[in-house]
Amino acid sequence: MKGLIFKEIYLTRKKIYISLGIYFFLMLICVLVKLSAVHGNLRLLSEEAVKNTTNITFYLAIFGTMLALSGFVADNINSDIVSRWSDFQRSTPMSEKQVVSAAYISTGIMLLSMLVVHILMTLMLCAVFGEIFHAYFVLVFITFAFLTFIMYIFRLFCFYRFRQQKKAQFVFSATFFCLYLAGCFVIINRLLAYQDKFKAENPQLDIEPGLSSDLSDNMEFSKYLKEDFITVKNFFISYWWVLVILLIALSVALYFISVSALKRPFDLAGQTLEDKKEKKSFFGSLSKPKKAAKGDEN
Amino acid sequence: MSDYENAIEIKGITKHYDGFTLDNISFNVPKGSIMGFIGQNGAGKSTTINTILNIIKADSGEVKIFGLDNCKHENEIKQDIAAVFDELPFHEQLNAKSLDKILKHIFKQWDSNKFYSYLERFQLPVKKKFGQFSKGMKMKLQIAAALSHNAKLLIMDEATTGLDPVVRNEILDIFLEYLQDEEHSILMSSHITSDLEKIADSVTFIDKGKLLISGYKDEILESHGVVKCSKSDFNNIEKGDYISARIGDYGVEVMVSDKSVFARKYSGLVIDHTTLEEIMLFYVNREKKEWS
Repeated sequence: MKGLIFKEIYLTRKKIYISLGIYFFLMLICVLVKLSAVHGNLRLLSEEAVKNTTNITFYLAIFGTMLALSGFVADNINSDIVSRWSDFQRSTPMSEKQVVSAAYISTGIMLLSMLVVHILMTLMLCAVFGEIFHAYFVLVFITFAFLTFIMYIFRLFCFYRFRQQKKAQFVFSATFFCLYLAGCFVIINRLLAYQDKFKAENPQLDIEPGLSSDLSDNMEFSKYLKEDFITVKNFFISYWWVLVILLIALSVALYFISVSALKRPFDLAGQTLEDKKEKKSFFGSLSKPKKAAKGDEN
Repeated sequence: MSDYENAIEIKGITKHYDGFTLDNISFNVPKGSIMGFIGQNGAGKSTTINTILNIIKADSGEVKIFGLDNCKHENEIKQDIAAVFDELPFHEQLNAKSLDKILKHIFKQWDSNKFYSYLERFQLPVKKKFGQFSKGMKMKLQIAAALSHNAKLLIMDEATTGLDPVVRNEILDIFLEYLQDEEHSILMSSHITSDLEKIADSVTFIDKGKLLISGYKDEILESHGVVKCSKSDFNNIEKGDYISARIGDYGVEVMVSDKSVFARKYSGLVIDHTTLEEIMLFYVNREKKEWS
């Protein structure tokens, strides 16, 4: 397994360098803006403008590490298939558990190392900007890192299950598109609920049914949004452990189904001729009958 | 595991695909020998090899490697198997140095010194990325990696296809060296029969998923022969006495599987020696019986 972990990290190193380079460049810009605010031309603006500018650059620098997160994911599964490393892997004494574990561990190692970089840079930026270090600077990063990890292991599962880049990519993208649509649905429902609340509180106003295309006039919406935000924040403060348990359970479940997906031979052997009826599925061409090995096609 | 007669034992392997069936393939690769696995493109060589390596599962049949079932003892067996494919199965961004670091943690008996000595012998650069290697260099690299973990069995799937004669010759010499120790065995699939004639101890012919012949190469070459005769002489030969016949403008070439029996029956006809290539050609056309 050490060999596989080394392979994953070795193949990802270029992405890591680029991601770190982008992050350090961003940080440099933020520090230069801060210096300009203290010693340069920016200090000629109003005090509030300078304060807002330095605030924005400070938080951009702190949370800019999340831009670099995707570079720390050992997403080499596609190049494993293209290079036929996955064929070679099957001829070696590596078990499916070792293969999947190596992918998880290598990404975990890289995200942890990014966490260390994040903490060190945050401490340094707090010193430069004269700000107090808060725990949520790290908690937000950990949350995003974990979500990135979940996305990565789900993508890994799609490749192990479908064994083809196009199918795996389609399923992965379709899943997140569905989540995006669900998110849009939730947001629109909340906005309609805000509109109803606003109508109930202001019956004298003649508000047309349906969601207004221009919500900027109704600043009251920000009141309802704040209420929702506080409710969610309080929920997470009380029940953050539920989310952690759910995410860990999801990771473990994806691990085991990835292992079992990888155990399946390339052509779903074990089926008799009678079992191999043409499957009718929503995805149409995704259920085409399996072909013979490369080189044995007629 | 040290006490076994055959490095590979295949019994009744059957595998169905749409438009292709591997039908009841059985053969053995004796320990300490090299077997040539011959067939034209699409014959079933890769499917058979994938079944041996447990990359795909056969619908029925049994595969034993070193006397052990290849499914039940998969990880144990694979420590002693080296597979060489027709294309380099390593990422193009890797180089030989990084490959050494990866493989030494995969194979328990990986020998880095041996690997580097093969690299030096094959004149392969250590730090150059594989994407910049030529086809011959990629094949030599695969072989260097295959020979560096003391594997007892080398399985080659069309490994010499596309290589120039100089490189092929070099590789064949390396295999002969590898086999000097009676503990090592090779299964080599190819449709380049001239390579196998040089080094194989036994051959197995496969065509359209069916086993045609399997046996010692010398015995097969000794028993088979080509009769060159006129069309009128050919008309006197019974259909059951030959494999197939190539009808030309000026004569007929007839492939026979038992020279001695044929010679006794048709004493006037001269039987020439044949090659594996000719045997493959005539067997592939056996259903047509007469072809041109």
